[in-house]
Amino acid sequence: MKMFAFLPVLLFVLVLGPAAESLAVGISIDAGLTPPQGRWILRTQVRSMSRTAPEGTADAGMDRLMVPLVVVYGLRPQLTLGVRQIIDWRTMTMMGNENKQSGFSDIYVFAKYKILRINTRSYTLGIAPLLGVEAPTGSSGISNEFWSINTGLYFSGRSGGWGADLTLGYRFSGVADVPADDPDPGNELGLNLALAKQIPVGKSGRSALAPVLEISWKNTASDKAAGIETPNSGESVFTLAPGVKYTRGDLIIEGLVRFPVSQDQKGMQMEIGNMYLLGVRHMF
Amino acid sequence: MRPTLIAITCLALLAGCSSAPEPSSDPQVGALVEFEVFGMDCPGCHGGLENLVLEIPGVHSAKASWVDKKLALRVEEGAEVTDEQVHDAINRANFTAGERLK
Repeated sequence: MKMFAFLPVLLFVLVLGPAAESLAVGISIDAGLTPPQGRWILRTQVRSMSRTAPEGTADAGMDRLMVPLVVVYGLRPQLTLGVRQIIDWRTMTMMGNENKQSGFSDIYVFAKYKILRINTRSYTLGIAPLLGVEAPTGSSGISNEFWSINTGLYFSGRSGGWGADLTLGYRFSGVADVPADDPDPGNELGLNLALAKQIPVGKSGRSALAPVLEISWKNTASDKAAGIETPNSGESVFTLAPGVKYTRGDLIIEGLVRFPVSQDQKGMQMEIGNMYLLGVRHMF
Repeated sequence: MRPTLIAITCLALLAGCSSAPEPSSDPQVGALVEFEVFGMDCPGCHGGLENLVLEIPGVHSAKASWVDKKLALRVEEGAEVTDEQVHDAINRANFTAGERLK
């Protein structure tokens, strides 16, 4: 009966092309912990974000609504596999003209491998590296049209209801199939920290509420053409994101607001605005 | 409008799924066994461990608690479940077994 109730969701996710992330104290930041063997995690979110031209410059902006669909599976206690597909709606505004595009973004598959997990009465520690590949399967106008490889090293610590996840990620953008007329896209370096406190709700221990704070820094290198940096590309952004997560049994409902604390775009580029996220995870 | 509808449908479908089953209190079921378990840090950890313990032949029901750091299971009348089998399930859930409490 439970499987039948879940079938529409499973079909929905599989038909759209699956995607990934797992058990973490953060909402958009993954953990250095791998889920139990045989555990499925389905996740979806609604992310609304925008970019606008700096004040006093061009009248331009971009609004973006993204719905990532993620499926994660604990193939072995050490090995987690995942796949992510994003549905993306973009509205570009330039000098009063509006251009809308929508479709599927590039599919992303990844594997995370446990190299350390220490569980004691008073604390838990975990370390897991990640390797992921993004393939240019997306819709025209949405797809990057090239292959990228993501690497990461994830650390987690838990003690007394407190949790911290630290991730260090590096993205090799455009490792293959970059269109001949395009510059080589810049690689990305990211450092993220998620902090949370699990507060039990009720006496059963089956529910918990967790305030979450995510701190992120991401540097995107400039694109290059014939080894020379192209103008108006590359940026560095530091963000803070307070949020809240409610867990009830195998269901997690989460939301956060991410806002830029500082950002530095090279040349003339649109600045990043706030991001609003509402999501749900189900594990079975 | 269409993206919002799809997003809401997606969230509603996931939110509609049921959570972990409570162990049965079938009076014919036999011994209660309890283990300390380390590494669970939220209610979302329960289900994965309970699923693996329920795969052990002879286990009738299982209930984990991240607050109490404990796993309680009921063994079917006449069935034999070894500590090694339970430890193996706990390990495959990426947790660590402590002392056997009952």
